[in-house]
Amino acid sequence: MKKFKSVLLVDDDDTSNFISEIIINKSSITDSISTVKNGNEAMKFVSSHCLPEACDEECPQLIFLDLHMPVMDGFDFLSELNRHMPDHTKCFKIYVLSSSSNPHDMDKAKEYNIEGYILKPLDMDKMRRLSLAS
Amino acid sequence: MEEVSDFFSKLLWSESWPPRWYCGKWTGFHGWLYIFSNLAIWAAYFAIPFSLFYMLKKKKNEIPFVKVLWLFILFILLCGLTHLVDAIIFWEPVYRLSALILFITAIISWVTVWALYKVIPHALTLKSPQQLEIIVNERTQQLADSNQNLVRLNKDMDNFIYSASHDLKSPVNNIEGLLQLLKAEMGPENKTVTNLIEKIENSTAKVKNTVINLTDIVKVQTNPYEDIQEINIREVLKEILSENEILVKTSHAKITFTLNVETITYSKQAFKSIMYNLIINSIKYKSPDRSLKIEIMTAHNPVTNRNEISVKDNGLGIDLDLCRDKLFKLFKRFHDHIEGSGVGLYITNKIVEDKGGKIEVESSVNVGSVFKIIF
Repeated sequence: MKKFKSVLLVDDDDTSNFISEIIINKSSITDSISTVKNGNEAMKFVSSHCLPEACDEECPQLIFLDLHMPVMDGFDFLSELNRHMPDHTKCFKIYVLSSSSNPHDMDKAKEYNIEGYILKPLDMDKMRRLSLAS
Repeated sequence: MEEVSDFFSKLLWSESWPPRWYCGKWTGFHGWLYIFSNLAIWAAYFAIPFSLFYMLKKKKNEIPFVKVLWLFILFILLCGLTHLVDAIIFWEPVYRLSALILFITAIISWVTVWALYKVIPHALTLKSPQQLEIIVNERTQQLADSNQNLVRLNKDMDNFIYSASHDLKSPVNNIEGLLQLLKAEMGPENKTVTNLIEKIENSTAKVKNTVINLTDIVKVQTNPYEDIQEINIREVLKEILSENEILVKTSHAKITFTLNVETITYSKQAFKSIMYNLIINSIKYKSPDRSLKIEIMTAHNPVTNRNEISVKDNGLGIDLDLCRDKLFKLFKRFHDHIEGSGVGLYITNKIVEDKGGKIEVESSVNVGSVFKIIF
């Protein structure tokens, strides 16, 4: 039984996603990884896969969210999520995964319901700590 | 000529004339009216210069045309004197003295006319308080606009720095991640490849550090450090030590405080930055031959009336003869074997100097260093 049914990556950087996918696969926490390019696509994915009452089979249980993306960035996604799915924490945990060590970004992210803030790049150590915390 | 010397030798004599009372037909009323008026004028011509003198004394440096004012005082006093003598003549007809005083008064009066003539062009350029008020308001408005511009530019700069640094860090992070995967893929057997990968990793680490350092430097340049408050020095020092607990613990440093000054009014961010940099330096450059001791002392210098904080350590020390002028320069480092960016002291010095202070260094190689901040 894998720890997480599925994981969603929200990031417009293909290379970063490539790395994250390999690391996630290596850590064996899940069998299913999905990727979307920005907050907008993430909203659509989550709305269609996670019905408001029950957390579907296909609803991701873990989301890695980048902050700086075109169309809709991480912060806007988190705001939208709070508005349309206020109890989303029942279905999935969100970790911000970003290059930004700007304290302003870190503080702002903490205002939302996120599980943690991880600095890129993702590596086995960070995955280990994550799976221990969950 | 004879008349002149005669005049002066008999200056105070009144023998050649009758007292005015007995010269012509003076009624009581007329005589006393004359005498009283002259005395009143003399009194007024004494009071007026006295007021002018009082004004001069009070606002010594702020009154324009001080010399003209003194001339006014003099000629009014002399004028008054002529009227006094005119009243005295009713009893003592000192007509010679009267003539002399009138003559001196005439000279001084004309000197005053000349002085006024010289001064009037300048006087005409002086602005009234209302005009000055208008000018001040205009300038204040200009300053306020300029300030607003600067604040906006600052914010733009801030955003630019973070965007730029983020855009630089993203691909660097990707390279780091890919290298890790590559290393894992290669396995430890292929030494050549592992070596090459490590060298790439070092270079990317340097790029990352440079980006971070540049960000820090620009942040210092643009941060006005306006969070000025009364800082409890002991508390802030404890904060710094606990925020860097691991570093402090692994250095096995023995840190003592001797705080003769307990509080200081300063920007908290700036103060923390300064103390953090000095303490970290002491830890970084500790001597391998002895256990690290750091003493932090605060004192108030009664001579200069300024607060001073010293951070003293028994670390590697600095060869000041060699390094003194480069110590606070950017990216200048003096030890290869210790990690560092050459940015810490530059930033610290900048903050201290921007706030009107100074850093003094004393150090001996292999004995230790003392960094004294004069706030």
